[in-house]
Amino acid sequence: MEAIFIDKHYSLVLECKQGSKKASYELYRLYSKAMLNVAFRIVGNIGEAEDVLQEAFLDAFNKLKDFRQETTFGLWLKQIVVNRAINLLRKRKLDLIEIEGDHLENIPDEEPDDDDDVQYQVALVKEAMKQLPDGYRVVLSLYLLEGYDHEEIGQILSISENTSRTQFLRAKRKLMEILKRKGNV
Amino acid sequence: MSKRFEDFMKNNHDEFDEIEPSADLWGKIEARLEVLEAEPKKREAKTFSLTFVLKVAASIILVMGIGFGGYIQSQKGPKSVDLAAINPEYAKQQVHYASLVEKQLSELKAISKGDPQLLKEFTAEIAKMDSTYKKLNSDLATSPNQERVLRAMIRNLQIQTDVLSQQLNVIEQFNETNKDQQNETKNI
Repeated sequence: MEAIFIDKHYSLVLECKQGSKKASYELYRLYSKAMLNVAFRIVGNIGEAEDVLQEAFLDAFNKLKDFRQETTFGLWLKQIVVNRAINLLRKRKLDLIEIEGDHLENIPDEEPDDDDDVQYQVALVKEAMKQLPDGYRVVLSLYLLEGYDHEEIGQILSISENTSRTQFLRAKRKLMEILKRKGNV
Repeated sequence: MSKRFEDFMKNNHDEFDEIEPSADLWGKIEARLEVLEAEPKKREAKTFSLTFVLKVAASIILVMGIGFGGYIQSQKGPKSVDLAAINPEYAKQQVHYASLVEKQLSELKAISKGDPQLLKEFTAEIAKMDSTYKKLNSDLATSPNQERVLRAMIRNLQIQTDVLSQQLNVIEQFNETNKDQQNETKNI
């Protein structure tokens, strides 16, 4: 069975395709906040995230006539946002897999279940994520918050699926370290 | 592997969206959209389509070809046209077909003596084509693309031979049925 995407904003996208300004604004209103945060979690600062958001929306409206609505507008737009945000990171000369070289062997395949007694708090996790290196933060947010699997992340970042997986495990471990350190203070 | 953290993130997904876009962001996007809409034609013109590029390339080649042909022509002098110099293979073909046409034409005349009306019709057909051939021949001296003209001439001759052989067939069949009929009447 093929996956069927039900886009609750299908008709809105149609109107927008036909050139309705109101529909464009409506789409912006619906998606801008979520998309801004997607971009923010990747690039790590608000100014650049807003730039990404602006470019992504322009891109989307320009290419809308080619969008065949086989997926939802939200997923499609998110793809544009993520790609633009990643490109911006690349321009910053960040090597997203640079971290791969260091102590790969220290990563256990299975994470010990040592976080059972930890009560997570959104605010603390958010703060901890900001302290992660860019490469870690990107993989972690793409996997946990944007809902991409490791295969997709591999494609987005031009790394292998496996690298994405180890990268994610390391990112998560690092995050736990930060959380614990904070908890102790 | 512990899924607690993953679940926690999933369940609290919305709370991780912490920042709001600034109020004037839509204004910026809208303004840039309007700029883009104002000059859509300009944008299209910048991206040439492949067919357009090919057309331009083709016309450049054509112009260059004509220029080059003209140059060759001016070097050679326009008077007498040596077919073999244009293309020896074509020259041979031209000779071949021209003699074939001549042969067929005399054959036609010999065979259809009994029917001057038909002969007149048939030769008129050939004469029409022959006048085209003559025109091509006179064009050949001044043509920038002699090979092409020569090709057209040969093609013309080929068609003439085709038509002639069809005409010959028709007359032959006609004569045959005539003979048969005569035999039949004799028999009766």
